[in-house]
Amino acid sequence: MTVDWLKQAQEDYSNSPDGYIHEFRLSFAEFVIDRLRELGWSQKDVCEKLSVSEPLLSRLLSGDHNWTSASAGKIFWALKSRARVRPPEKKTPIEIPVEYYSPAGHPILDTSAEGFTYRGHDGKENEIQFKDFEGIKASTFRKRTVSGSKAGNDIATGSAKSLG
Amino acid sequence: MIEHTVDQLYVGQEFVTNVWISQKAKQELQKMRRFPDLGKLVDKIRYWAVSGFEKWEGATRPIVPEWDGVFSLRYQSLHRILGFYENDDRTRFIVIDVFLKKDRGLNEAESGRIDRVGQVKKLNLWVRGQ
Repeated sequence: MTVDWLKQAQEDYSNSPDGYIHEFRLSFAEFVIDRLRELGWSQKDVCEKLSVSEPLLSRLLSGDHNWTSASAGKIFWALKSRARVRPPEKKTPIEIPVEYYSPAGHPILDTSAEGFTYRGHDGKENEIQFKDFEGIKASTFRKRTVSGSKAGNDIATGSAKSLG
Repeated sequence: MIEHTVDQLYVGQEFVTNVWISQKAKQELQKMRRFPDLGKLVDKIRYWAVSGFEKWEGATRPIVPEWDGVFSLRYQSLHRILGFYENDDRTRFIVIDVFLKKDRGLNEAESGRIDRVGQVKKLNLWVRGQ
């Protein structure tokens, strides 16, 4: 017997409105647990402060209690914490587009250890072998970020003969 | 003699506590398949696995130490998902058995099931499947 059906049941529930409520309650319960640990308090301490019973707090910590926002606010107060709901952070990778240009400003289309291909001013692709140009190395070429990105500007790495 | 083969339920980098589950436990949960909150129950286990079971342990919390190193994951005071930490390591939890309590307290048969899980832990009567 596989676990797939179990995981599917969990996923179906998680994606339901009840699942969203459940996750919210569990995250609140987790916050309370973490905060109690930070303060060095027991559940009993916070129950006394709130004048609530331990079974009630236990239900809250199970993620099953339908507490009101007022109750939650009192708990934040008791735990000396303020809380705000923020939109979820967007976790997208930052991509910094980079284009390479020859010293003469030709966009580099492809590079290798032997040379590179560039697009000339006439729009045609041209291939250059390093061995044909004295003093030119791959590191000679400028790296320029596409406008609008946050990375730095041109990197000048030395001189080379102009490619014209 | 090996009594239980366990399979991965929630195992991976995103989980602070990795969870394996026995065939027996799966069969018991299968009986509860029509139970409307089964998805919620497993959702709790997943949440606890992500944040780490240890944080949820305690006499008044949902993961309760029973005896002989056995812990029960509880839901709505009736469900008992029984297991133990492998070598008492809080990053690895092995679920062996599941039952629904009949009454407020544990009856003899139910206590016996906890005893049996304790034996499985103590005598290493389990093995990982594929």
